[in-house]
Amino acid sequence: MGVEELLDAEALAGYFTARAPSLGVRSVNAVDRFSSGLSSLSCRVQVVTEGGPATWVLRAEPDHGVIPPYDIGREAALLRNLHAAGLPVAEVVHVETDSAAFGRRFALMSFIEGEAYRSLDERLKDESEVREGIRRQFVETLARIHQVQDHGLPGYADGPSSARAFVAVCRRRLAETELMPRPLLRHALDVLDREAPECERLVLLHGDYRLPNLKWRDGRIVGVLDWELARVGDPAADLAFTQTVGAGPCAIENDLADYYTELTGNHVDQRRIVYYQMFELLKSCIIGLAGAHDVAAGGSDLRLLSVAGLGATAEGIVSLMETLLARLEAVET
Amino acid sequence: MILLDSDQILAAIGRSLSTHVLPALADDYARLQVTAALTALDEVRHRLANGDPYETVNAELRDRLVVFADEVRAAAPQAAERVDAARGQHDHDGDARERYRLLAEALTELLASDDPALAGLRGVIEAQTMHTASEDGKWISWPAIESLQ
Repeated sequence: MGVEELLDAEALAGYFTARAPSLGVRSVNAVDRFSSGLSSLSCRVQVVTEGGPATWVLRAEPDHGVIPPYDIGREAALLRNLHAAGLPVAEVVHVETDSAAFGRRFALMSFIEGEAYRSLDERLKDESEVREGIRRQFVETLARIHQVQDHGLPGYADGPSSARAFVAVCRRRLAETELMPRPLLRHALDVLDREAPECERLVLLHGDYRLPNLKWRDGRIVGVLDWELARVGDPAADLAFTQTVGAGPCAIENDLADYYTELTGNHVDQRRIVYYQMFELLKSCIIGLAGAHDVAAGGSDLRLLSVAGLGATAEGIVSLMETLLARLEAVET
Repeated sequence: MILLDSDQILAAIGRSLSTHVLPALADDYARLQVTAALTALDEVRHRLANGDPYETVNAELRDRLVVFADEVRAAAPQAAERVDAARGQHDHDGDARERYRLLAEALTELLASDDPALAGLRGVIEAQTMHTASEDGKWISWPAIESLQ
């Protein structure tokens, strides 16, 4: 059983009957793969249940993925906790933790109707009330995420421990995927290990917080998607992400950074921001290398060739960030 | 035997994909795969015409390392010798990628040595990396990247 069966309406209908009768699925009308997303396989599943028509999202663990290990059970448990905490996230409908069924574990969750914006969306180019409203809600929702207490993810003793844990993940992934030695990246990982900063408090991080991962309806955020990279860490990591990989009109800096601090009480200094900007760029380099490795190892998603190219372009910038970090260090001391 | 040369064959495949296949595809995911394939085909044609890009990278990096070693030689002859030795890793006729691998491993060791005389070495590798990235940027399929958002 593989991904083809998972995308096959008949096979999925057979699964529901045999393995998940409590869902009451009478028929599966369509399974459409989403073209977005780099890691988990996601598709929209349209079914008719005993209660009527329903639309679900099926998220399955990837064969390889860019930053494994993936754990759909962990993601589903987190979503349930976030839903209980009142955050706008999908409701988990079903979790299949036995990969024997389709060759991979997967979860079904509610499909959130709404529109999404790209990071550099043309509709948000010009100053407008809509744009301003979106920027403020973007910050407000991240502030809410950072204030969730009962998320259930494992914590760390302090800021440096949380940062170094993720450096270790990146180091392992680099070793696994590096087709050619990357001196700048290996060096950057050593620097990130050595310079891991303290922080006032550790929070739940989304890990991929950007406009395309938010669903909007009537000017409100109704869904925060893609929690597979969520972890506990320094709030500066999520803020730095919005300024680098997720950059656009919602980059949380200047007035938005002030607003974030007003909402959360989390003060974020420039050195931590630069540290995590460097971290995020390095992460994107490693994702690029993982993409190239995936194709070389037999993968068939040719878009990963471009992800690899983009990651390579970030490599020199990671190194420049190290220089900036050292300069900030010198100013502070 | 196909009478066309490799470049002509690849060009024809590209034309076929963009003329006959892409317009007929309704599935977004499939369209993106074809779009990314067309960009990759262009890159392969460029390589056929110009050789493995690692040949160019090796030559450019070698030149930068020669300049750097000469700059530090007077004040730190031993450091200059270490750079020369690292550079020597690809002074042979082996495969371009294997020579790059050896050189990169040697440069990684130098970077990790924390020798103050080699503080500028990171800048040398950085400059080469940025230059290579700007050259390679044209082989990125932006629709493919955008689709992943």
